[in-house]
Amino acid sequence: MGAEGEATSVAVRPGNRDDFDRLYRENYPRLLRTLYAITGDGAAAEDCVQEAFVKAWRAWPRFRPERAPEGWLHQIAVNTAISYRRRAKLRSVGEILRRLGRPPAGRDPGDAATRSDVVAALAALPPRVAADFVLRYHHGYNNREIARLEGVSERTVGARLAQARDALSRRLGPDWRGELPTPESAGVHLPRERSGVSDA
Amino acid sequence: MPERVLSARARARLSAALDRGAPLVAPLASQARYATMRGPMPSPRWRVRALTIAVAAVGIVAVAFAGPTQPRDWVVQSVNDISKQVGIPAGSVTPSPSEKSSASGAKEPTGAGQPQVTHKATVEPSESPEAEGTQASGPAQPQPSPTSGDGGDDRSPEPSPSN
Repeated sequence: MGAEGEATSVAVRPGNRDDFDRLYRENYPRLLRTLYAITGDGAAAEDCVQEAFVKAWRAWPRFRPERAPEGWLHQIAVNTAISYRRRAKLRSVGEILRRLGRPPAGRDPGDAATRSDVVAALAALPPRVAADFVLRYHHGYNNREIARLEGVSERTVGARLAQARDALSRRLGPDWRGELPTPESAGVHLPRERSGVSDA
Repeated sequence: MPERVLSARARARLSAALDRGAPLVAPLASQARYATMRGPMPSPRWRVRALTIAVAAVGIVAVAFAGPTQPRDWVVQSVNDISKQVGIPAGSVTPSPSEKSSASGAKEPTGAGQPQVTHKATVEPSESPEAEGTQASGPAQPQPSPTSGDGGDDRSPEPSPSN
C-alpha cells in the first residue's frame, strides 16, 4: 500500500495553479497505479499520467467545482490510458506485419523483471474493468464511491468487478474469485488512501 | 447485495505488484509536464489551427456572398451566333428562363423581318403611359427596331452569310 496523499476535501478554485498542484500531488500515486494496471507498463503509465495532467491543466479553468476533482481526473486519466492502449495495439499490428516470416522478438528483460503475472493479468482486462478492480481492491473505494467517481451505476461497477474476478481467478487461481464477507471479515477495514468522494 | 472481498493473500499480491511498478511518491509539481506550459489555455498549435480554420471559413463565406456571379452570358451569345451562321430561326432556340419570362406573350415564332413592337411594350411597362401618349398625339409610325428589346438579337433580319 502506498503512502499516498490524503483526500481532497477542500474546495478547489478552477484555474488556480496552487489548487491544481495540490490535486497533482494528491492524485498522482493513485492514478499511476490505476494506469499501471491498465497499461501493464510502468513507463507508459507514467507517460499517460503526465499526459492526463496536461489535458486536465488545459481544461482546468472550465472545471465545475460542484464535481469531485478526483473523479474528473480519474476519467481523464483512464481515457488517456485507453487511447494509449489503442495506439499500442495498432503499433503491435504494424510490428507483426513488419516481422512477417522472421522469428518473434523476445520480451524485454527489464520489463519481464518488473512486470508480475498479476499486472499482466490486469492489463489483459478491459481498461475500465481493470481500473474498477484497482479502485476497489487496492485503493479501498466501495462500489458506490466508484460509481459516483465514474458517473456510472453501482450495478455497472458490480458487473465489472465480477468480470475482473472471474478473469483473474481463471488466470491466477481461486484466491481471486472473491468471497462474501463473513461477520468477522466485515469488521476488517480496507485501506483508504484517499477520499474525495463522500459516502452518501 | 454485499460486495465480495478478495482474500488477504490476493490483496497482498495485488498491492505488491502495483507498488513495485509505480513509485510511491509523486514527482514535484514543478517537474510535471503541465508545469512547462504557460497557462491553462489551449496550446499555440491549437490556436494556429483554429485561426487557420476561422480564416478559411470567413473566406469561403465572403466568396459565396460577395464574389462575382457566374458569367453565363457567353453561352447564350455563342448559341445565337451559331444559330445565325447555320440559318436556324432564332425563335426556335430555346430561350433562357429569363427570356422566357419576359417574352411570355410572344409564343409564336415570328418571321425574320418582323418588328417587335408588342414585345417591347411587354418588356418595359414603366414607360408605356408616356410612350402611348406621345404615340397617340404624333403620327402613328411604328418604329421597327430589330435591335431594341431583350430578344432583338434573336430576331435579327440579317441573312446568314452562309446562305
